[in-house]
Amino acid sequence: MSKQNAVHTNTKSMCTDQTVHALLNRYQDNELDSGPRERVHAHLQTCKACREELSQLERITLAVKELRSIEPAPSFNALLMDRIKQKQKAKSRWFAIRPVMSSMAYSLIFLLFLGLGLLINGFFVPSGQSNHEDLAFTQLLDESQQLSLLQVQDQTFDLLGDFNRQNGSGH
Amino acid sequence: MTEKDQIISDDDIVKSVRDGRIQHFEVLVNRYRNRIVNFIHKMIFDYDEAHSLAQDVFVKVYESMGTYQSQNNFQAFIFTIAKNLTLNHIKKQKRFQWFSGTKESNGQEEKYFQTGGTQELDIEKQQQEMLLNEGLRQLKENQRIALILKVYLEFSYKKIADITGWSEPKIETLISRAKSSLKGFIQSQEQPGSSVKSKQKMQENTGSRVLRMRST
Repeated sequence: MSKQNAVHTNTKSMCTDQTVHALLNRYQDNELDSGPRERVHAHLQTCKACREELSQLERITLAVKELRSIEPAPSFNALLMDRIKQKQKAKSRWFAIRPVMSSMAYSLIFLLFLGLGLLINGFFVPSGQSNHEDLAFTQLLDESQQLSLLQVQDQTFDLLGDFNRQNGSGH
Repeated sequence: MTEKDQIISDDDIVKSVRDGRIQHFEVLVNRYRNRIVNFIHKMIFDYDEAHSLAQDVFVKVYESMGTYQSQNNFQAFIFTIAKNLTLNHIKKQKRFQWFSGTKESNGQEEKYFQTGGTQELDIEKQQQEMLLNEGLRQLKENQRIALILKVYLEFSYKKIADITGWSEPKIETLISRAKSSLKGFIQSQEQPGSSVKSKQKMQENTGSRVLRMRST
């Protein structure tokens, strides 16, 4: 008996076929097809370790199966159907006011977007200044900046011209 | 449930309820009530909470009927909802216990045994059942779910896969580990040295209801 194939189930006996041993649970759960089932059945005729293990599995299974079942309370159905009918009524009420609620919701959304649009376009200016004045001021600023740049450019050219004349006359 | 109710399929009843006949929903309730209540009960070990959660399951099923695609798989549909609500409940309980600094309260076994007077057991069987329940409580939730669905409700691996979304090899592994853990737990409790401890522990947990009966 090779140690590789042996599976220890307890200190006294060992299974000789690890492959079949692994099928014991499925065998006990009645989840094997006929071929593997017959193979396990045949193995059990010769393997004491597997028979003992199967016996233990069956004891546990039987104990769980025999756990006492409880009877639902007599009022179970009545309470449940009452709850369901209440839910059904609440649902009907909701469907009745739903069109009104939907209209109100859509109106609110429309108003919100309208307000945002007006705000972006400057119809609501917190400081009190009109939009047109701001625009004129900005344009003036741009123009003055451009003017300053041109002046600097002219001055630079004049300086360069002077510099060249002085250097040219120097030579 | 009348004979006529048994002939009509789950899908037909769902269609009827969707068409506005709410009263037909009760046929589905009658078909699944016992199994749903017991499934939840074996998961959370509390009679009252199991009832409350089972009601939530059916309400959720009713509300979700629009999403059910008729493929003769209503059983998987309802048990999926039951599984999800049960797991949510267990998580909430754990969070509550963590925040409040309490463990499972005393009298848990009292709540478990409120069976309404059915199936009375002798003292020894009661103790065995309490031991088994304690072992089930030790399992991870997924192992417990797989074990209860397979062994207690006798679903196939394929059906469990439809309910949980797990692969069949995973289900097999979970069940195998669950049985192995249960076996180990029970064996450790049944050893001579530990039986005294387990009785003492059970006395603390149950308020010695069972042991008082034994001593008289």
